[in-house]
Amino acid sequence: MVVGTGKYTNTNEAFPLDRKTLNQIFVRSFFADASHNGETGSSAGWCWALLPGLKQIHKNEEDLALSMGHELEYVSAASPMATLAMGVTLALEQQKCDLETIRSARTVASAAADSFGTALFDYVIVPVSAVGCCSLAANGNIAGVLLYFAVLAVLSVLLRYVMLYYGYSKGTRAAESLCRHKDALKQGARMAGIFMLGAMTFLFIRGLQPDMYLPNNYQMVSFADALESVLPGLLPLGMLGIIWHMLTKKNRSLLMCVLLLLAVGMLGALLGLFGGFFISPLHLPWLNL
Amino acid sequence: MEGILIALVVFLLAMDQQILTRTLHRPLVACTIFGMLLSNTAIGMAVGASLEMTLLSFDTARYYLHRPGSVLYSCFAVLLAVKAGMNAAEAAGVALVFLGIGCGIAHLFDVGSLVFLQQARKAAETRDEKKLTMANFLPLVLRALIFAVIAFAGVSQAENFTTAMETFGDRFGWILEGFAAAGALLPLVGFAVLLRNLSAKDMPGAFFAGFACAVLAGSTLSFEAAAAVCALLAFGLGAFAYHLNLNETSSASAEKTKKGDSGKWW
Repeated sequence: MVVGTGKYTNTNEAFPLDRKTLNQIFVRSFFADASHNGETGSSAGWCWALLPGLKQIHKNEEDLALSMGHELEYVSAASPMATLAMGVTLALEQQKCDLETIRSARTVASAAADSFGTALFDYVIVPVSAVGCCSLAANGNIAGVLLYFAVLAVLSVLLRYVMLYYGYSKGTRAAESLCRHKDALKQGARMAGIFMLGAMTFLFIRGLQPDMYLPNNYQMVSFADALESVLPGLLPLGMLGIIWHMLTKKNRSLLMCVLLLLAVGMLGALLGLFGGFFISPLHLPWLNL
Repeated sequence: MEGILIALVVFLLAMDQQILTRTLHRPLVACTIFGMLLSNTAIGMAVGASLEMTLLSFDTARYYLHRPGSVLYSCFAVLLAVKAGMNAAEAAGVALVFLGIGCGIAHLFDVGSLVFLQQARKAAETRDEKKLTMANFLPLVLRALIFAVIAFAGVSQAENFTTAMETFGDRFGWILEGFAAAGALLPLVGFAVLLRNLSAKDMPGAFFAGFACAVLAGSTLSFEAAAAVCALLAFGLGAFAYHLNLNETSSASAEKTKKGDSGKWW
């Protein structure tokens, strides 16, 4: 059986998590992105951070293994607001909702929290504090550096703490009323989760764009623009289709899928398809344009 | 002694890139610390301010791809400014190769950490918290250690080391780029697994609707804002499907009760 798939044996609602456990999860959330990997993002750290709560919720050992297994699926916990998704996930786990409901809610909540948190920090808090603090620091004033560090650190800690408690309390309240109709909730959550995965396929693979130019009627045409004119996001969508086909139709292992993507990356870099800091050692026509 | 201290700070800052408040590794803070270690805080701060602005000026996609390399970048920019006498802007330009090297190593670990993910999956099966803790922290420590070793190797001869790294980048940089490209594509495996486990086969429309919404939103908004908009749409769509299913269930049960036979079959 695939790790993290199946149904909980004990479906009785668990006791609410106490403050001590939530505080433990809050502290662990600072290490949630420690083992970031390409395939499942921050999943190992996410699972490790939630573990005190999961242990308290699932007294049945098989259920605990199942719960740990599905928490190892793709999740992004890089932003300080990721604790909001942790709170929501714990609330649903406590209600012993279907695994599909939990993984859908986790996917949507973590993507939303991560995006919103990243945007808040990288577009508002960091630039605003950097502009003032950098000019102070460039003039040799150490207060600029200290202020910059303090603003970012304090906001990061506060957001983590507040969002965990907010997500857990709101999630519990919502889950208590919604879980009375588990089938309807499962269908709704699945639709939201699958919709979000479609959006993430385009948005989260954004860093990779073909970076080559092709000659066309005495002018250079960007290959990326040509692809965009057919369908934006064609590369990630096509690659996802291939991986999906390999996993579900051909029953290939995850390792095979990873090796395929590694080969695509290496070949692309050797042929200079993706651009970047370093150029390919091969003297190919499109690299000299 | 200086080399060991700098390597130790690089080790700690490289870990800060992924854990705790993720604030110390920012160029402004990191360069000031390196400046202090090299007994030249003022130059450290000036280089930090220059690097911070350089990174902020990157477009979002590039910023995300290159952010993991910022500790090595900060370290060598300050070393070049203090030891080779370059000004802040010049050091920021020459040390740029370390942004690429650091980024390549980070993406190498994006792929290499999959070994630890496998260990985490085994830990989940056996409910082994210790093994899960190891799987979570070992890649972090290893990555930081590689950063520290590179910093240690370059401390005494920063200028020559930078030239050597540039030559290395010219010859073998494409391998690091390959890992970066593969690392950027790898989440697709995670998405495919989630789609499989969500039995997405009977709801392909929802997937393509999400993709289309992201394309439309992404064409006018930043990617983060587009993701937040898509998440709100997903929430709305989920709530709509929930109420639709609820109404269907209640009308079906009302129908049964009305007929009187299927409601009380016994």
